[in-house]
Amino acid sequence: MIVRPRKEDHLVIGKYTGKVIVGVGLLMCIPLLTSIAFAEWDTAVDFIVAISACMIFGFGTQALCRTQKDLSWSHGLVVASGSWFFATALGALPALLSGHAGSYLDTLFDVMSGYTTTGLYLLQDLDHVSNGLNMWRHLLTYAGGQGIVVIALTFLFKATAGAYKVYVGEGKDERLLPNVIQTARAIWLVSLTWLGIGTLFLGFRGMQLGQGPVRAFFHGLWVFMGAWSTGGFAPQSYNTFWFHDIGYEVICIVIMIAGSFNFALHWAMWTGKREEIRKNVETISFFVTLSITTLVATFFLAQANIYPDAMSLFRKVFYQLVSGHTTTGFSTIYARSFVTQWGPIGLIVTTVAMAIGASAASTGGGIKGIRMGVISKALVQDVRRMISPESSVIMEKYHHIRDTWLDDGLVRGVMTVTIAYLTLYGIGAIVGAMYGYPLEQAAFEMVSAASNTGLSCGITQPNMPDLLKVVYTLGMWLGRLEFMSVFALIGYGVAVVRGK
Amino acid sequence: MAEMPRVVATRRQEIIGYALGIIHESLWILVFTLGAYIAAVIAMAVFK
Repeated sequence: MIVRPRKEDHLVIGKYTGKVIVGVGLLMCIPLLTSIAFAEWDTAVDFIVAISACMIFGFGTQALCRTQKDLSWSHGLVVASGSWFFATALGALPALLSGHAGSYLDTLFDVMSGYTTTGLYLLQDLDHVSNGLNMWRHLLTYAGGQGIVVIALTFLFKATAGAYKVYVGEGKDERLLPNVIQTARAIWLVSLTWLGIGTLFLGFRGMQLGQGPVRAFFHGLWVFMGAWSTGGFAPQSYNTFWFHDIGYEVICIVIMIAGSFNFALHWAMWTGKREEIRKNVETISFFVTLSITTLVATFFLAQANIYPDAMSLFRKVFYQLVSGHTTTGFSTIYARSFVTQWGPIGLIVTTVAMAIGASAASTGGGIKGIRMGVISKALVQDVRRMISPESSVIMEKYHHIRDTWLDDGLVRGVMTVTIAYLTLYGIGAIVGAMYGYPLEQAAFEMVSAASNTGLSCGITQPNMPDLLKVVYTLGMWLGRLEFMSVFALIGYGVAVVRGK
Repeated sequence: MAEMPRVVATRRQEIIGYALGIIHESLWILVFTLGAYIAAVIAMAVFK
C-alpha cells in the first residue's frame, strides 16, 4: 500500500525547498552587480525580475510552510531534486528575457546544463552575450558543481540531522568533517582557493596573449569556473579553441583534472595525507582508464595521419580525452571533427571516457571512478574465489581515504547505479537514433548529456527535435543527482495522487 | 596509560598545509600530462 504524504510532509519539503530557492536568488545578485558595473541596464532589469521571482517563491513558500519538523531521508531526497527543478525553472528567466534564447525549453536546457555541469548549450549568438548573462551562465555551473544544496547548507541551513539528508540527496555522501555544515564550508574553502589561484594563472596568460586586464580577468574567471566545475561553458562559441595556446590548455588540463577529484581527496591532501593521491582507488581508476583511452586514441589517430606532429597529436587527443573523462566538455576541435576526423574509433573511445566520468563527490558526472574501482576489485575477488580451494576465504579491499572491505551489499549497490547509468545512456541513444542520427553519434551525444560532460559531435543545436532536448535535459538531471532523489520525487508525486 | 597530548595546527600551519596540498596535486597532474606527451611522441615515431 502506498502511504499518502501528510500535511506535515508537504510543509517540511516546502520550507526547505524555499530556503534553497532564496539561495538561488541571492546568487543572482552577483551577475546583477556585474551588469551594473558594465552599465548593461537591460540585463540588470532581467536579473531584478528573476531575483524578485526567486524571493517571492522562496520566502512565500517558507511563509506558507511553517513547521519545526526536521527532514527525514525521503524528505531530503525530494527537497534536493525538487530544488533543482525549481532552481532550473526560475534560473532560466534571465536568459529567456535576454532575447538570446529560441524558446523557454532552450533556456531550461541551458540552465539544467549549467547546474548539472554539463556544458551543452542552445543559447544563440553566444559571442555577443552580455557580461552579466555570461557571469550567470558560469556562476550556474560553478555553483552547480559544488551543489546548490551545498550553497544553501553553507549559508541558510541550521546544523540538523536533516541537513545531511538533503546533502546526500544531491549525490554527495562524503563527510569531510564530522558536521555536514562544516563539510559544506570545507568544500567552499577548497573551491574558492582554487578559484583564486586558477583565475590568476588564466588571467595572466590571457594578458600575455594580448587581452586587456579586465577582459583577461573575466575570461580567466569564467574559464576557471567552466573547468573546475567540469561544466565546460566558455564565453566564446569556439570554447577554449578560441585561445589557440598550449599554455592556456595546460592550465585548463590541471584545473579540469583537479576539479574532477573527490572533495574528500582534496581535503585529505590539504590536511597532510599526501600519499592519498597515489593510493586512492578513484585516482588509480582515473589515471588507468585515462591512460588506456589516450593510448588507444593516440594509436589510431597517429595511424590515420590526421595531425602533422607529436605536439599537435598530444594537444588534440589528450585535451579532448581529459575534457571527456573529467566530464568537463571543453574542446579545442570543431564539434563535427569528432565525426569527420576522429571517426568511429575516436567517437567510441571518447564515449567510453565520458561514460566512466569523474570521481564521486566531485563536481563531475558519469558512472564515477570509485564504482569502476569497486567493480574491478569485485571481478578480481570472484576470479580468485574460483581458482582457490573452496574452504579458503577471499576478501578484497579498496582504499578511499580509508581501507574498506568489499561485501556483496556494496557491490550490489554499485552495480545497481552502474546499470541505471547504462540504461539511461542506452535509452537516450535509441531516441537519437530514432530521429535518424547514426547510432554512434546518438550514443556520443546522450552519454555526453547524461554523464554531464558537454562535448558535442554536432547534434545539439537550437533546431534539434524538442523531444531530444527534453530527453537530454532529463538525462542531465538524472545523471547529476544519481537517480535516487529524482525517483524519490516521482514516488512522492505518485504517493500524493494514489496514496491512501 | 597517560593520554597523548593533542597537537593542534596553528592557522599558519594550516595554510601552509593547504598550499602544499595544492602544489602536490598540481605536480601529479603535470607529470601525468608530460607522460601523455611522451606517449604521443612515441606513437608518432612508431606508427606514423
